[in-house]
Amino acid sequence: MIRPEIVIKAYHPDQRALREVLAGIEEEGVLYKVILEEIPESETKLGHIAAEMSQIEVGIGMYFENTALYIQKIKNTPLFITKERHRIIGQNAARYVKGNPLIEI
Amino acid sequence: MKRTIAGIDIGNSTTEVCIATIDQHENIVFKASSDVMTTGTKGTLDNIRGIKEALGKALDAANMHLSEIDKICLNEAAPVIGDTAMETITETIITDSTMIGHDPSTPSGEGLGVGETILITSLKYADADRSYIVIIPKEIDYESAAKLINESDKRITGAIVQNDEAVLVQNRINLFIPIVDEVKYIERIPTAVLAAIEVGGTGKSVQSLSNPYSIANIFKLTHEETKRIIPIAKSLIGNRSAVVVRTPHGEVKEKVLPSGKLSLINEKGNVTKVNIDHGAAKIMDSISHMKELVNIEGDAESNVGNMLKRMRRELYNLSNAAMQNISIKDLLAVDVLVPIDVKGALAGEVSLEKAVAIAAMVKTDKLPMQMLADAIFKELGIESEVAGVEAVMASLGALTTRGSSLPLAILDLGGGSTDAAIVSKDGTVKTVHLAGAGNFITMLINTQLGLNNLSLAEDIKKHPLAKVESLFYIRLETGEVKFFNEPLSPKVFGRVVVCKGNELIPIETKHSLEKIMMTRKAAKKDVFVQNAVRALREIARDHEIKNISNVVLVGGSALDFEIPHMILEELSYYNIVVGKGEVRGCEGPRNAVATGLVLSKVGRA
Repeated sequence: MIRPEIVIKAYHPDQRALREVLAGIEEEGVLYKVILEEIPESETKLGHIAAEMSQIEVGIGMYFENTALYIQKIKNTPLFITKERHRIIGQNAARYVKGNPLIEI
Repeated sequence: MKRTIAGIDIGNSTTEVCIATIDQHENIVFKASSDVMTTGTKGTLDNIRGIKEALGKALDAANMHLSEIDKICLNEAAPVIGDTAMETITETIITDSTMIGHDPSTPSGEGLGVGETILITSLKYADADRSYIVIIPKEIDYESAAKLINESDKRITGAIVQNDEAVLVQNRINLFIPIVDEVKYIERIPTAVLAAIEVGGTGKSVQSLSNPYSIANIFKLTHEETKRIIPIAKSLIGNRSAVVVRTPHGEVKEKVLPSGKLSLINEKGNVTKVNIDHGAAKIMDSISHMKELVNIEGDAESNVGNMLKRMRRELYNLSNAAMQNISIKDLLAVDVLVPIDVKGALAGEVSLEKAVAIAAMVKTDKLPMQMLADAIFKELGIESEVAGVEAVMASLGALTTRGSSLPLAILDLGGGSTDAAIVSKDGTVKTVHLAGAGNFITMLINTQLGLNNLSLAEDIKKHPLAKVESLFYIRLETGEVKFFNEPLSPKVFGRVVVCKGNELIPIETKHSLEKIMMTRKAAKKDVFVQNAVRALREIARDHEIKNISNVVLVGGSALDFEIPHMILEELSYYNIVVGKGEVRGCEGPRNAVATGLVLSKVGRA
């Protein structure tokens, strides 16, 4: 069975940043899956692919601490990007899935 | 001789223009019309800016020039102005931090926990024979907090977290306990006192802490003490999570504020006093029983008293009439529940407080319209005159509605006042001006939803609501779904929005769409349906609404997408033909007075 989860594709993510993204998603009660990448790609490229892979059409790309939130329906631009506010990116990914208002970055 | 006439109607909120030419055979051709916001209080020289703008707009539309106008006709504006104020009756005060009742979006756990409050870092020194509710300040992150709880051998029954981390803590501990988070002023919670914490089950609000007897049972209260905690229980109703702390002197008080009295004065100088805190029904009842009301006064220090004084002063400065000729002629009171920040709250709680919102109307003998006409002549070089009484002109204009006939009643639903007039077959006119109209509705919406944003309240009044369910579609309040080609802004995602044409304006509150819609509808009903009935009863023969055969709705608020339907529904009970005006078959309910002014010049070269 395919789980309804947010997909996070990350190339050498900053450990603290990744932890915060996941905490944001977890607090909102949504499932996730982390895929660590070995080939260097930008956070936007990774985010885009992650969204394509996600059953619930939401993906997050990470390149070190650079983080981008993508949804499948909007391919060309990320919904949010950040270098610092990782908890909120995670929360917004989950809130998008739930249809709840997003937090402004 | 052919002549071009501009009729100008200056209202409380809009200035309307109608331009027409009348040829030598007295045939009339309407050229153009326009409306703009009134600049300044009506009847003052400030109006000229608005008049020029409105004239310019109409002339552009007709492809004409200002010099082509031979005459400007102003209405003899009803010398009334309206204003609104609110008087709060109750106030909730928390002393010594006794409760937390807010709605964090993600509390965790379920059920009720009772125990002594303790800082999580002090847990290891605590006695082993008691139950504890741990307080987790923002310096302690969820990992460390969970570790401390798991390592502790004490009985823990609940947790209060400052950060938004309730679920994160819950997922890392070996217990299943109620956890409340996002408590802003966590340092104000006293430690080593008995407390109860509750998180409602899926889809439910708190059950025990909103019941006075449950609280009494938890804290072993006497009958007298139970009475005192009723405001706590009341203010926790509907919350998903809550904390109640028992402190020796702590208390939540519902204070009744001294909101003052209204003094109703009749022609003979008799005074009837009515307490504002008795509510709107009592006030309206007293007013309707008052024959020949000449003035209303409020207590000096109250909001309403100040408003009434301010309005009289304003009209006094305006009309140069003697102060005793300026009187408050009518007042409309509506009971409201207003969300107000609780004093001494721990998590930014709001409580719904009782209040009475009041619209009032002041009247004088005459507004200085002639002065305005003279000023227009000076400014534009066009002959200007004050051409007719507003109500008569409105009736003349309204009569251009196909299907209407004499005797005709008009209801002018304006911004500042609700006016009604009845024209009988022999031409006699009876008029009435009542307090409360469009602006009052805006105020009711603004305060009841706690928006603090009048222009947003105005938009909520005028336009339908929708919920943004996805970045590609919205669901309107009618249930209809509308799709968009381009993705919407993430700012509006998941929110309730006002659909103002193609613009979506987010309403940044926690209110549901249904709640906002109900508030909007109730405000419209409280003001216009009530006023329609009051006004028609006043002008009808023998004060029997059934004696009126047809009513035409005119004025800005008649353009509203639901007010005319509400009035129609109410009046259908009295067997009256009522509908929105179709002035000249093309203006809708707008422009009645301006049209009437032009029409009044036909046959009078």
